[in-house]
Amino acid sequence: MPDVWENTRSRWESVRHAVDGGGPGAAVGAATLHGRLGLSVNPIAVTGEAGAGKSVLYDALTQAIRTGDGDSSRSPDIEKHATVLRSGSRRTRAAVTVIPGQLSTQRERALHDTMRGAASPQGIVHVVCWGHNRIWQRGAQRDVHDALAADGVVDQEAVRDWHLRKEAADFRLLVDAIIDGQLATRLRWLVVVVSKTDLFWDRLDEARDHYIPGPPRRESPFAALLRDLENETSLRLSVLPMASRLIRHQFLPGLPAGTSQLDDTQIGALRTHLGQELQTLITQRNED
Amino acid sequence: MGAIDGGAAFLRMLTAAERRLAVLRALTARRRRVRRPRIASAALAVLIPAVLALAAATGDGPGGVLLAVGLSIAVLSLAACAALLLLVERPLNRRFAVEEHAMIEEVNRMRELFTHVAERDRWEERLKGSVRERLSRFPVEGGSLR
Ligand SMILES: Nc1nc2c(ncn2[C@@H]2O[C@H](COP(=O)(O)OP(=O)(O)OP(=O)(O)O)[C@@H](O)[C@H]2O)c(=O)[nH]1
Ligand SMILES: [Mg+2]
Repeated sequence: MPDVWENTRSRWESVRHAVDGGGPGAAVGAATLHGRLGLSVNPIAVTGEAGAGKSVLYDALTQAIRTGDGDSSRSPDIEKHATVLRSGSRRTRAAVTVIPGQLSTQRERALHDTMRGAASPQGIVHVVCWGHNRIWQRGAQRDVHDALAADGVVDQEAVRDWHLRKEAADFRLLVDAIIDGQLATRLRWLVVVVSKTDLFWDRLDEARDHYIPGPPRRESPFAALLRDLENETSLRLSVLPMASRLIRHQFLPGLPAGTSQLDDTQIGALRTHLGQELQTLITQRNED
Repeated sequence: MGAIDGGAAFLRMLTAAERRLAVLRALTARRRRVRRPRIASAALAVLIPAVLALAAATGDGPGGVLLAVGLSIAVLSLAACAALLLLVERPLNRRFAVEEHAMIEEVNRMRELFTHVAERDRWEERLKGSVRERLSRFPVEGGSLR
C-alpha cells in the first residue's frame, strides 16, 4: 500500500508542476465556487489562525476578487455563505462557514453553531500560511517585536517562527478535539490549505516539508499532529498549496516587505486545483 | 499601556480587561435606562403640538388655557430631552467608546501573545485552558456590546 503521505506529496508536486508551467494547466474543467443561495447541504467549515487568509481564500474560490479591490480586514464575526461548486458539468451545493480566528465570543458562537454537539461539518478547510499571518493591530505588532527582541534578533525568520508556533498550538486544539470526539463528529475530510504561497514560492519545498508528514528526519509539530489525525481517525486528509491574491506582505513594520512571486495565471492554476480537490472530497462523501 | 513581559503581567492584564468588560456591561444597562425617558420626552415634545394643531384644524380648537399648558409641557419635554441627551447620554456614550476601545486593544494584544507567554512560562494545560476560555468571552471588535 502506497504511503498516504507519499501520495499527498506527489499531489502537492503535481500542483507545483502545473503552476510552474509543466503539467496539465488550469483549463481542465475549471472548478470554482459560485456565490448562490441554495439548500444548506454539504456543510464545510473554514478554520485557521487570525490573518491566515481564510476570508480571502473564500473570496478567491468564489472568484469574488477583482483586480484593484481593497484589501481584506479583520473579520469581526462568522462569515456564512451558501455556494455552488462547479466542476465541468457537475454541481455541488456547499454551505461554507468561516470561523473567526481569534478567541472570542464570535468564535465560540461559530464553533457552537457549526461544530459542537449535533452540528458538524462534513469537511474542514484548515488555512495555514507558513508564518505569513497578518497582525491586524499596531499594538500587537509592537508586542511581537518586543517579545522577539527580548529573545534575540527580530528578523523575518523569527516572526515566521512566532506564527508557526501559534499555528501549531491552534491546530493542536482542533486535532485533539476531533480525535476526542468533542468537535465535528460527522467529519469526513480535512484539507490543509497552505495559503499565500505566492510569497514563498521559492521556498515551497521547505513549506511542504513543514506541513506534510514525511521522511521522518525532523517532523514539525504541525506534521506530527497531522500524522496523529491520520492514525487516530479515518478522515481523508489532504495538503495543497494555494495563493488567493497577490498582495505584498510585511512581517513587521521596519522589516523589508515581500512581494508576490507568482502571476495571475499561476494563482488561477492553484485555485483550479484546490477547487477540484474540494469537489472530489465533497462528492466522494455523497457517494459513500 | 505597559509591556506584557511575562505570565504574571499577562494575567494581571487579563483581570483588568475583565473588569473593563464588567464596567461596559453596566454602562450598557445604564445607557438603556436613560434612553427610555429621553425617547419619551422627545415623543411628548412632538406629539403635543401635533395633537393641538390637529384639534385646531378640525374643530373650534383647544381653549387658550389648554393651549398654553400643552405648549409649555411640549417645551419642557423638549428641554428635558436635550438635557438628557447632552448631559447624560453623550458623556455616557463617550465613556463607553473609550473603555471599549481600550479593552479591545488590550485583548487583541493578549490574543497575539497568549501562545508565546504560555510556552515561555510553561503553563499547565489547565491554566492554558482557563485563559483560553476567559479570552473567549471578549468580542473581536467594538460594537457588539451595544
Ligand atoms: N500575498 C498574499 N496575501 C494574502 C493571501 N491570502 C490572504 N492574504 C492577505 O493576508 C491578510 C489576511 O487575510 P484574511 O483572509 O483577511 O485573513 P483571515 O484568515 O480571514 O483573518 P481573520 O479574519 O482575522 O480571522 C490580508 O491582508 C490578505 O490580503 C495570499 O494568498 N497571498
Ligand atoms: Mg477573515
